[in-house]
Order: sequence, then C-alpha cells, then structure tokens
Amino acid sequence: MKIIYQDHEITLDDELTLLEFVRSQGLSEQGVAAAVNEEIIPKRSWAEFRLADGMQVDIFNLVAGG
Amino acid sequence: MMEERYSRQSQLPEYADFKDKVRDLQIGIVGVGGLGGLCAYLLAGAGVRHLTLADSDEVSLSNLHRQVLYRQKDVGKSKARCARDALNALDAELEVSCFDRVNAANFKDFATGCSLILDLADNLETRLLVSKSCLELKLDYVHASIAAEQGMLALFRFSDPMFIKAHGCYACLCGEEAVAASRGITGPYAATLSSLTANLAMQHLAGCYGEYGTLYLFDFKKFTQKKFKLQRSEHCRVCQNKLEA
Repeated sequence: MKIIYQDHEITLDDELTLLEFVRSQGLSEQGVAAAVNEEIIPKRSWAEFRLADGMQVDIFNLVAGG
Repeated sequence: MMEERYSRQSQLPEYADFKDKVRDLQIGIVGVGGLGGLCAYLLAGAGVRHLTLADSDEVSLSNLHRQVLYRQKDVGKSKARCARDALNALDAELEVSCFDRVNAANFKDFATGCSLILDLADNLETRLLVSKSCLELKLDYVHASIAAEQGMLALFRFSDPMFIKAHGCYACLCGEEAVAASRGITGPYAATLSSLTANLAMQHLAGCYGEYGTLYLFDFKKFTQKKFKLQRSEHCRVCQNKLEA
C-alpha cells in the first residue's frame, strides 16, 4: 500500500491505523496532530482510523509558543 | 485627520469602512509577546479603538529580538503596561486596558465586552483554557502559535453552533493531554505569524473572511503553507457538553 506522507510517497508493508502509523514513525502521540486528505483527524479517533492506499497523511508538531 | 490616518487602507474595497465597523468593538489579546505585541499594533493601526491586553510577564532582554513594541529601557517592567504605552504612542486616543494572567476564575472578567479574543499566549495550559472559556462564552477567537519555523493559525467561530458541531474546539485538535514543542524562534518568524494573525482577525471583523474551520500550518523556513479542515472529535469532553447543552 502506498500513501503520501509529508508530501512524499512511501510504501507500507502492512495495513495500519493512524495511531499505529504515528507510532511507527517514532513520534510522540501527545506532541503531534495528524491530518488525512487535508482533514484533521482528532486524536481520539486515531486508533480506529485505517489508512488506505493513496491517502495523503500529514503529521505535525503541536506548538504553543507566542 | 482621522480620514487621513486610514486613507491607504480605505482604498481597499473590503476595508473602505473598516474603522467604522470596529470603532466600538473591544478586542482581547492573551499574551503580548512575539505574536501579540505586533498584532496589537497592526490592529490599532487599522482602526481598532479598544484593546484589553492580558500578560503578567515583565519585559526581558531575551524578548527584544522579536517583541517589537519594547525597548531596552523597558526591561524589568510590566509587559502589558509597556505595550499600552507603545500603542498609545501610535495613537493617543486608543483605549488600552491591562490585565494580568488569565485563569479560569478571571477569564470572564477579561473577556466581558469583547467581540473577539486573540489567543497569542506562550503555553499550552493557557491555550486550552482560552478555548474552553471562549466556548463557554460563545465567543469567537483566533488561535496562533509558533515554535521555531512552524506556525499554526485558526479562527474558532464559537458564536456559531454549526461551527462547533462541524469543527469542534482546540482540544479536539490537540487532545486534552497534549504536549507542545518548545524551541527557539527568530524575529521574522514571529513577525510573519503575527501579521497573518492580524490579517485573519481583520478579515473576520471586516466580514470578508470565508474559510472558517480552516487550520493554517506554516513553515517559515521553507516559505510554505498547508491548509487543513478542522474536525470535531466525537469523544471531546470539552465541546461535547456544549453541543448537548
């Protein structure tokens, strides 16, 4: 399965949920937000959200500075 | 004289009567640091007449590279009061109220009379508080946050129940137990996001903003922008109660 992650095409060997994908990238769940196909996916939905072929995934750090 | 002050801005059709639209509005700004200082200046310059500034910090030497309202002589003084003085030097007739750190107990006092809140605080705890409090007060607010080259910007239109139903709140985006990255920052990164925040606030106040529910994500190092649609979390304990109320 291929997805677009941070603007680059990557291949996933297994079907993953968004939560599994975030963890597979070595990212802290508490420190990031995620969007699929330009829609924010609330964090509490990550465990049920299954990535599918062709999806565009963006993960970014949460920032709070002003 | 008043006409001359806004004459260049008034040449733009969407801002032709902006000063009249905002003349009686109160805008509350949480945090007058790297984002809030310049943003307050731009809004005051554009015709906003009434500002409430909340910040309990003192000006420090490490602020001066990006917090453009302050001078070396201000180090050690109240940031909110120095900001008020700087804004009154821009326009002596501007009414600026100063407020200390906002908290759950005093937020209503801070926000009373405000038509719009700008959340330009420097910590996640305050940002979650601002979102929750504005939600309770059905008050529109702009969120802007930054660390290093990454900036986030969104307008939460809590005066509109349909907005909450579709797009949720800040806690839907980041989770109620989020951790935010804390890194360095440059003056231009902060000033750019500050200007974009003022731009968003002005478009909203002028009635010409048309992308409610959008989160803008900026990479100022790469000069790029991405747009994402905010989505309400069905499990969010913060805004779920408001929908049921």
